[in-house]
Amino acid sequence: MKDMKTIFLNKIKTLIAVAILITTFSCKDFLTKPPLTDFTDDNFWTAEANVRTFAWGLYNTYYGYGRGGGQFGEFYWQQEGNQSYEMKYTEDLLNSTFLGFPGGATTSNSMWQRYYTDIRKANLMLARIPDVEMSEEAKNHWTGVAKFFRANSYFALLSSWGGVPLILEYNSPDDLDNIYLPRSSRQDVANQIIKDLEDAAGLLRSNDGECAVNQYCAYALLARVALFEGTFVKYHNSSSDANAYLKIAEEAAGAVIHSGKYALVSNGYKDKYNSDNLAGNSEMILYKHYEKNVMTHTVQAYTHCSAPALHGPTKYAVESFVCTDGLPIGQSPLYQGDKGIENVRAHRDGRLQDIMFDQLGYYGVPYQDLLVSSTGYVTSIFDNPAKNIKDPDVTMDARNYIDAPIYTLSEMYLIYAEAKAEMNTLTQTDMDATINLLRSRAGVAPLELRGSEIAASGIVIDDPTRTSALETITQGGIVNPVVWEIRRERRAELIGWVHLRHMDLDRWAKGEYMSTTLNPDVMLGAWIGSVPEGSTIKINPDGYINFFPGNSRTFEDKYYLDPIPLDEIILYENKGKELAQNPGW
Amino acid sequence: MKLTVFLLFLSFSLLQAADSYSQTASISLKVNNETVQTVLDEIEAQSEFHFFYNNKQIDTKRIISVECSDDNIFEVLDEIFIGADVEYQVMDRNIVLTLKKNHETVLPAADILQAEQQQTEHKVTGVITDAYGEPVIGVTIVEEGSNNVSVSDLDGRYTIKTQPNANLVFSCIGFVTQTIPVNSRGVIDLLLKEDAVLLDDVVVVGFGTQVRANLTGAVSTVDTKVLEDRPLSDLNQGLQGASPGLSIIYSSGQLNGEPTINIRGTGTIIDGAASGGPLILVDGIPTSMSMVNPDDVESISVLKDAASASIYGARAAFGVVLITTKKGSDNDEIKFSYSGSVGFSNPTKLIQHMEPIQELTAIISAADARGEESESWGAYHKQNIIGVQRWYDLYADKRDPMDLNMIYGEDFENVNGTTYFYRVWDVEKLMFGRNVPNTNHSFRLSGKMGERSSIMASLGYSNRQGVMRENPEHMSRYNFTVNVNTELAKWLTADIRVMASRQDYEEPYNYMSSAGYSGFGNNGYFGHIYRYGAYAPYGTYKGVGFGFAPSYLREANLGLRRTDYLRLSAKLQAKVTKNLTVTAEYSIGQNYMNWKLNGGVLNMWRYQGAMVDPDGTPVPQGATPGSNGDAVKISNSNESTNVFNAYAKYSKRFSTDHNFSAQLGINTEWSEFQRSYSARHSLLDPTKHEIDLATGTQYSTTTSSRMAPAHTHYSIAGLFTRINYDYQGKYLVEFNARHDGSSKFPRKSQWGFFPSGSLGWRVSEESFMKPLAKTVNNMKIRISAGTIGNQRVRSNAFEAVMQGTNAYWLGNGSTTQNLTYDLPYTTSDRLTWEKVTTYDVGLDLSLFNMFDISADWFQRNTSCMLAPGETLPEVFGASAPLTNAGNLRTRGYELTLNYNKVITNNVTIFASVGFADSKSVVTSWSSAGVIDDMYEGKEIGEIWGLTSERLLQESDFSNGQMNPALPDQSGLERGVFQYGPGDVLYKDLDGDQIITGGKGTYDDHGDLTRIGNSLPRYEYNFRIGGEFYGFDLNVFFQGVGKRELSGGSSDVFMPFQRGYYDVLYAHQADYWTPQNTDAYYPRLWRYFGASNAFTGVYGSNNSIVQTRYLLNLAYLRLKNLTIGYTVPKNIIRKIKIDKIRVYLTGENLFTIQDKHLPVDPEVTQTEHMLGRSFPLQKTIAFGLQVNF
Repeated sequence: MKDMKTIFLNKIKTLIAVAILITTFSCKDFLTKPPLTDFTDDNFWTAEANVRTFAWGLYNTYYGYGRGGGQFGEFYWQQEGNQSYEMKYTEDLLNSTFLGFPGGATTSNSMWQRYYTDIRKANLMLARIPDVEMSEEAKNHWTGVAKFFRANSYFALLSSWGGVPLILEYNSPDDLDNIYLPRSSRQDVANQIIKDLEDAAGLLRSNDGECAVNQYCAYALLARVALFEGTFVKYHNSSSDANAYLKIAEEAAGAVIHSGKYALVSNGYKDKYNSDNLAGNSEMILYKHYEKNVMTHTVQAYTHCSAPALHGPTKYAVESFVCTDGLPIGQSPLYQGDKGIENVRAHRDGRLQDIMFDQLGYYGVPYQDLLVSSTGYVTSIFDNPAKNIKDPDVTMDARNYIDAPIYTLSEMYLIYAEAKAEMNTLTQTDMDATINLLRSRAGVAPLELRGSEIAASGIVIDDPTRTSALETITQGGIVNPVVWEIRRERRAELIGWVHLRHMDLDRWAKGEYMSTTLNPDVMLGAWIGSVPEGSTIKINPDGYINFFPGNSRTFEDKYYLDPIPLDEIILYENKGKELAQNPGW
Repeated sequence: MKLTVFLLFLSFSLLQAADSYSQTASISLKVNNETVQTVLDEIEAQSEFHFFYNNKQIDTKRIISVECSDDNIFEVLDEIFIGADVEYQVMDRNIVLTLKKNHETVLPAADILQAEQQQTEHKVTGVITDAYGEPVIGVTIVEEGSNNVSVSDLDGRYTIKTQPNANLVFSCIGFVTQTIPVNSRGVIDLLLKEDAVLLDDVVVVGFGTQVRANLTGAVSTVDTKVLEDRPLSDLNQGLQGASPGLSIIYSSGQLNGEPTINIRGTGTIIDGAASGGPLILVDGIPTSMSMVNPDDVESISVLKDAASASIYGARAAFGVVLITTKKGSDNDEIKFSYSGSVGFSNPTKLIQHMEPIQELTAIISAADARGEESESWGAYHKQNIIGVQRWYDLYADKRDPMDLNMIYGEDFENVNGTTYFYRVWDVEKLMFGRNVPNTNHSFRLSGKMGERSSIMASLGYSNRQGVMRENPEHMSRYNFTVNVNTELAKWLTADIRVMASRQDYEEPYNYMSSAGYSGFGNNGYFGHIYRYGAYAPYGTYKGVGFGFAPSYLREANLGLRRTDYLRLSAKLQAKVTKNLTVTAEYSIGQNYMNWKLNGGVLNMWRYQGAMVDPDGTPVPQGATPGSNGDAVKISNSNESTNVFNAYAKYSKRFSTDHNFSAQLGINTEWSEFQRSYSARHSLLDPTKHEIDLATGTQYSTTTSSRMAPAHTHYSIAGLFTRINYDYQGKYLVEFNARHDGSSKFPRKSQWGFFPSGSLGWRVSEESFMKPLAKTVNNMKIRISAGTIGNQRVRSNAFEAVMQGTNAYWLGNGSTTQNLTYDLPYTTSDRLTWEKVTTYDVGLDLSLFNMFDISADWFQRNTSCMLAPGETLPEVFGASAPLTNAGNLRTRGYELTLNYNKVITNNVTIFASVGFADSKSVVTSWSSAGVIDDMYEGKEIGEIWGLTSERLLQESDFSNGQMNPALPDQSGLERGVFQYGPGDVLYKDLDGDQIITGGKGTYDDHGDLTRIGNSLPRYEYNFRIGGEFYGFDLNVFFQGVGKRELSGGSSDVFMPFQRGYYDVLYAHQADYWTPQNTDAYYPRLWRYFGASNAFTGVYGSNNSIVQTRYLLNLAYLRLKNLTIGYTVPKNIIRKIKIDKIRVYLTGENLFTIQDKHLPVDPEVTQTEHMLGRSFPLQKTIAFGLQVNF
């Protein structure tokens, strides 16, 4: 009882201590815990470095040889998205799995989604740049970057789907009227792309560092877009003025060619595709750099492994290469026929030597005991002779790190020449300043213009293939010999670029090249005469490798445009709006 | 508490017992003209004292008036019994009232006579202990039919003088009363059984305890006996099946696998996936159960409904598991105990390869049917079969099956530039260990330190090994716990707890996974070991392995994942007045993890396709798949979690009828998590796991979300209250409320108010039930309702967060991937809290002093879930912001039955059954009703599929055409496949004669129906056991009544499901052929996965999700069987040991499962392929328990 007072005081002290503790934690910031490792839209846009950081995300659009470790790329094979019809392939390569055309439209399409995501990114940049603390020069440059990539995305959409909804603002999710936009006309989309690129060419820095978009990238893309659209409208009988686009293509390509910044590398054809580092390569306007162990791809592994077979160049592709006299095989006295790989390669365009090994490889008879291809021709364009073809950095998935070209000077030469040829304004001077430089590097005699005719080594070229039945069947029809040779030149120079070749077939309206019934050579490979013992390879009655006997595919005009994803159409319908489907789907 | 005995007899030792409680407890009383009885009742109500007295001796009807304030009990008693010659002796919290010795003379003459007789009669002594070997104090021993009584002392000893042929009745509250014939024995030691009907059991609830009889919420306690004597690798395993409604699901048997824990089914939906686990608190702080020594656990309460969980606020929306660790006992001396076991484990069930000749024959014929050449990576199976046959004929006898060395030209060879393998391996024997060792040890001391403190300290160790034969995973854990309870002042106690654990998990570097470690669907070794037939190159050539999973596994370096957990907590409890207690507690838990992975280039033969030189010399290739293989990777993380609580409880009984208590407090928690990562390429010595010993580029980015750098934090704060009231212990009311704040939400909507309430009616206390009191010992009806907010929603749902990520680009000369930021999340200002409302109706029933029954029915509505907003077209460029549009309803019930019967002193039996079921249905969602998505009416876990009728037979076809009377299923054909004999015939459920999936929506689903559900239903367990003269038996079964799974795109379930002719398994032999028309599997065909090939239809051809091949995962498992023997007391007492028990225990001993399921029914994890994953282990162990 005598301690009561002390006890009472102690109790009070304890309670006070507890109360102090409670008040310590009752400050209102206690519950404020913003994200620590992420920015928000409110606090991100503060300096040029932030804008640059954001912009790197837009470069994901360039698959190159594949994303980090990835296997899909714009070269050798291309698979975009998750739907089979997006598997872009060409008549130049026979995939080891037989590919047919798709049956019908699918509900969604990851590429459709991807490009609109990039467009939203570009629109966000355009909305935020004015308030970022940086110089006017920097603001101009980054505005140019945003417009460049917005144009790039719209070009991808245009080339796949034609006219698409044009979203040019960073929309709020509540602004439904600006979201549910109908498809703009093909012309409006093309013109918007061209406008963005022309703006970008004026705004972008001429140099923003290695592997970063600059003024010349804008010209390069503009040239590609304008040539695409000019020839597309021409061969698909559109009412648009093809020449207006072709003129833009000529000027844009010319801006790069005449800038004096770029020059061909002698003997540099293969270097574009198989170099560990393209820095300093004077042909490169933009390239994708890879780094060992950091960002890698699989293109070499896919051309340097054996299982179960590699995609091989087709008989059709191999026969398109001219002989060193510049004449097609149907005309050239140098042509040794195709009985045996050494004959195929004899006196031919140097680029044919570069894209395939000097021995065949097929089931039972592998090249270097390692490689078998679907056609017997084994792709070597990505092979770097400095490395053992059995080196794991070559043969293993996701361990390759050769750099991939994106925009190159040679493409500008080809665009320049083709645009002018299509406009009938091509001169011998133009030819010598562009295509003949490429031919000379490949050890092929130059092309000579003779009025409406074209010659090489003094002989007027009259390629029987140009006037074959296949050409007459196609919507693109028979083209004049000048255009024909320029297209051949483009095919030889860019043969690894499945992505570009597929767009070429679309714009020239030559989809039938991929038809196995109309063009059986796309299913055939090298001539081997008979099947050696121990091999299970199949051949056709003439002795050519026929990897997929019994399989066939036919082309329909609707394949020039992809189907709009059905879910999108339904969403529009639910809102009483229309997103029109492409014809035939 | 009244004890109606006639006489109390106390030994002297008892009189000397000092008791701290009696000295600290203070009493305040003010009574006027009440009986002594009433006053004593009041003291019992106010304090923890219980009075024992003989009401023939002590006059309790006497009317008195007393007034005292905060006085010591003795002072109060002096006042009550002034002049009454009553003596009081304190025994713990029991006060025994007796007449002073000089009043013996007033005993009636007859009693005196009897008392004199006793002096000459038989004397019996003995020790009374409980099931844990602890002495039982205060047991009343009565000679049957007499007034002769004794009481056991602090050591459980008693002495009684009795007739040699008398029966002694031993009784004590909380224990089963036993009658033992003396039979002229001089010593009778007795083990008292705890009373089955523990009405006065105290249950741990949020921020306090509650007497079980007064519980009104749905709280179940886990009998910690389910954890004892089991060779468990962690606490999660021990709790599986231990409490109905608490669902613990493992997806594989990987040693460090974390289970999915749910209370009462799916709670919410986060990002389209079922989610919502309970809050798990160990001594009040969120702690991973895997870091707790199962042997330290004192009690486990599972708070299931909102009324009992809501006091924890927004983290407790889906229930709470409260785990309390043991504290020091009140033993005067320190007692030690050891418990440990040593045993061995084996895999439960493994898939088996088909015999290669049979396998290859089947594969070749399947390929022939398609006009294809069957091959694996360019190696033709026709060549393999020739070689395998030759190997059997010529070489099989010469090989030691465990000798890995392969001989060129015999076991494998090069044919036309392709390597072919022929040697047939016993894969199971070669790859999986037999009788893998495991151990558990736990050592504990417990007792008093001086007068004022008690201590519990324990040290635990467990060690486990995985099922692989070479380079197995390995896990060890050390636990160290010290809990000290001390009295700082008479009114102030402190409880200080320290828990430290270290867990080391080692596993071989996983070359099959880009992350470098296995598990969690990361394409572990398991998936790849079964990738090819039994003739694949499991061996080595010239000591070098082939680049196939077994070689990688054998050669891989071990990586170590070390988790150190350290927790300190302190609690101060002040008894401010006798009605008011104030508690303040603070805990900090630190969880450190250091994770090292070490790859390295392995030298191996390439083996796929053309890998061997023509002269037969293989070319070794440095084969390290993935760009990240040759690296050391180190991730370090630290998570620190702080909890501070302060609360006050006021309890008061107003007269005898009204009992009231109220609690008010705050609960705060804040936590921070940081993780760093570093990796460096090009190891110089692959066995050395150090950054400094590599030569390549060092970098800090990784694609592994479990290792990547991170820094997060959160805080919560809540003000809570609980009010309890009961009237005569019959009508019970509880009200809870919490004003809760969470940093997860934007500031303006950070706080929410969540009330809950519950009512109970103890029907058995009603007078009309009294006639049935012997039958119905207890009957209580409970109802509760309440709402809790849920803060565990998708992170960053409320802010326009821009997440950093790596661009696939090396720009501006960078040698690492350029960092970039994604588009800001599209957010909406209208978002608010997700609310979880639970209704519960329960019944508790105790019958015949043997049966306890508890049943609950509940409904839980999760409303305002964050659901995708109205879908915007892709042209918007981002997904629509979330809206609070989702509602989910879960309904279910739980049932527990317990039976305990003491048959004789040496024979007892017990049995228990638990059963629970629940089903969750989406009641509102913003979507178009697509069945693969969430939609209104979706049952969580549902599987949509076609109904299979039978296999088509040749008679169903004429001229290659299917009988036109059968439904048209040609729309399901894909590629060159056409339905023919041996294929599946589907049922046309919608009557349109065409098999379709309609539009794949709920409104138009064609012939699809819900054919199953992948969540476990009807989870049950039952235990039986007992004791028989020192032997004890405990049998624990656990099972799932219904659960299905679609085989997915796994070759394990449907042959060649993935579209390759690579492998067949033994169970797949029963496939259709014209000779085997009654087969289980259809004719062999290459299927291409099970992706969504047609609207709403998964798969194509025969591999569509369908009833016939739906996997039945229901099972009944003998989870544990333990047989023990306790050495009799009288033998071990001589060596001063209280208890020795030896036991044999087995875990997962056998399983009853569907005959078509080739894998363990609990293995649902995909390691490369569903079914090819770590099996569970079955374990047998020998154990020893010693208390001294």
